Amino acid sequence: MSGKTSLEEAGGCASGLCGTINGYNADAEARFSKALLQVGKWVESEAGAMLGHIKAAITLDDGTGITLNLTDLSNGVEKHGDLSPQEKVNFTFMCAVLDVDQHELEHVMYHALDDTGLDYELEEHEHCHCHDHHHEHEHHHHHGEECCCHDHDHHHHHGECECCGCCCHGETNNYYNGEYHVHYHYSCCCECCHCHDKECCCDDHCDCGCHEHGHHHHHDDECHCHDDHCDCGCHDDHECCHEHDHDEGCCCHDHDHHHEHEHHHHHDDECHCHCDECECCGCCHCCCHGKVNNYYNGDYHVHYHYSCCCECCHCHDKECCCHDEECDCGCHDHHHEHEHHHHHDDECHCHDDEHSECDCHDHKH
Amino acid sequence: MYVYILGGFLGSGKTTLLMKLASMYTKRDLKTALLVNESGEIGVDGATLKAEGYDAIELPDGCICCSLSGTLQSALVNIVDDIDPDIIIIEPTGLALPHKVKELVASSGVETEGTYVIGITDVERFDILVSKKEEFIKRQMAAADFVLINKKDLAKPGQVENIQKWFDRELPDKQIMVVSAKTGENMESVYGMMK
Repeated sequence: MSGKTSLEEAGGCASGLCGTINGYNADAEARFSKALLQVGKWVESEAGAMLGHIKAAITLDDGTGITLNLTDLSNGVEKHGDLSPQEKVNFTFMCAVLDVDQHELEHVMYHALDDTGLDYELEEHEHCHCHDHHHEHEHHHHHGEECCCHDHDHHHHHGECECCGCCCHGETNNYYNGEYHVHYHYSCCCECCHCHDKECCCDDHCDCGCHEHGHHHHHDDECHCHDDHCDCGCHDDHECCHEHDHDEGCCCHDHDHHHEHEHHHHHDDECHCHCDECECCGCCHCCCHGKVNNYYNGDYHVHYHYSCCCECCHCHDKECCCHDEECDCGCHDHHHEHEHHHHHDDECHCHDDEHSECDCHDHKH
Repeated sequence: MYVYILGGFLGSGKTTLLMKLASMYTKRDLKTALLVNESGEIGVDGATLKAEGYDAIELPDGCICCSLSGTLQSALVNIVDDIDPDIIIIEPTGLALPHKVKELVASSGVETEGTYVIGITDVERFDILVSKKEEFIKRQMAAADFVLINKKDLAKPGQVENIQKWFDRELPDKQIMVVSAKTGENMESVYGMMK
């Protein structure tokens, strides 16, 4: 035949657990018998018939005691042996049945024991199957003090997990793979979510590529370095552009052509700093002349030279266009003789009510 | 030394039969070793035997016809070395295939005067078992040297006859006895079959 075991060939499964019961008497025996019946009824409901047996032994340390045996629900639990009331007894509880899922069987067995109301403890930690299928019980009393299943931090998914809000992946957190819960951080690419601890370890395990950079500012909403919408072109010529924004030493603000900007042109789509098509419109709205100045786009101030129609203010370059004929702002009507306008600096007071500070006007008018 | 293997499905009454046979051999002053195998991690049949006054060697957490085959053979060797019994009765799990156990006994290196498989089936649940696992049951019973239809005391009219018809149809060469291991009904005929 195949390499299957006889158990597999028959489609059966077997499971057992053992422990101790504090306070054994006839009532405890009846309760244990009820646990066997409870499991038997579940098997019958699952498989259509209870094919197999469910057994328990309640014994003293020398091995003497009773056994309970259920092979047919209609016949009930058979008992072998006698045992007088005891302060503490050992028990074993086992099932070998067909056509049910073994993990579910174990689950039902634990529940059946719980439901007896007996004061019992499982003896061996290795029989705990919490890690196998992670039924969502917060606590199994049979774990006693020895069980450490629920002590582990990774069990916070039993109700305490807050990973759902992880912005890295923007998805749900834990999932159930059919056998046990896989933590969110195992499902995500990095396999070790920083959400679960204080010290981000993404860099240690992640192979997604996202974390290669030294900093994870993409974990917040501020960084848009890699967003596609930035098409200003400013960064195209800078090799550092893909690097500097990943560390805290971002040099964006270091560039001379940006030094006056409180905000980066990449914060909007309107940057044309280096646009060659820029044409001066005549500076009709030049702030120097007291007309339209910088504007506020709702988030931040856009500087004057970006707001003016020419998109490239003459104030900021050497080629002043104030005197171009097309300028019809009027300002130049009375300044036309000036070689240089004081508005080339930041101290322009052309239109101040008091012109005394400007000597240009004193001797020209 | 004779070896008897009790082959039958879960709950068919193997442990009860085991105790009856052990009792019978003890009365005959024959040194008998009991070897009990259970699929589960935790054995209960050993406790059952203990509760009834029998000592048995337990082999839990697997099946001696497959996953515990090596353990079975080692246990047989140890039993012979330590106890040197006249009779060894092996109770495999209810899901074991007895012919495999028989083969393992033969290849264990233990010398026997004969190894026999006693098939045992449950009169109450035979129909449903056959309806669900007929091929498996057939394989279990095919290896039997003789078959016991057990739990006669619980049989309803026509049930025993139906089982006999099934054996006549599927395994016509099998010698069949209808017994109740629990009440001892017709067990004398079984004892008569044994060495």
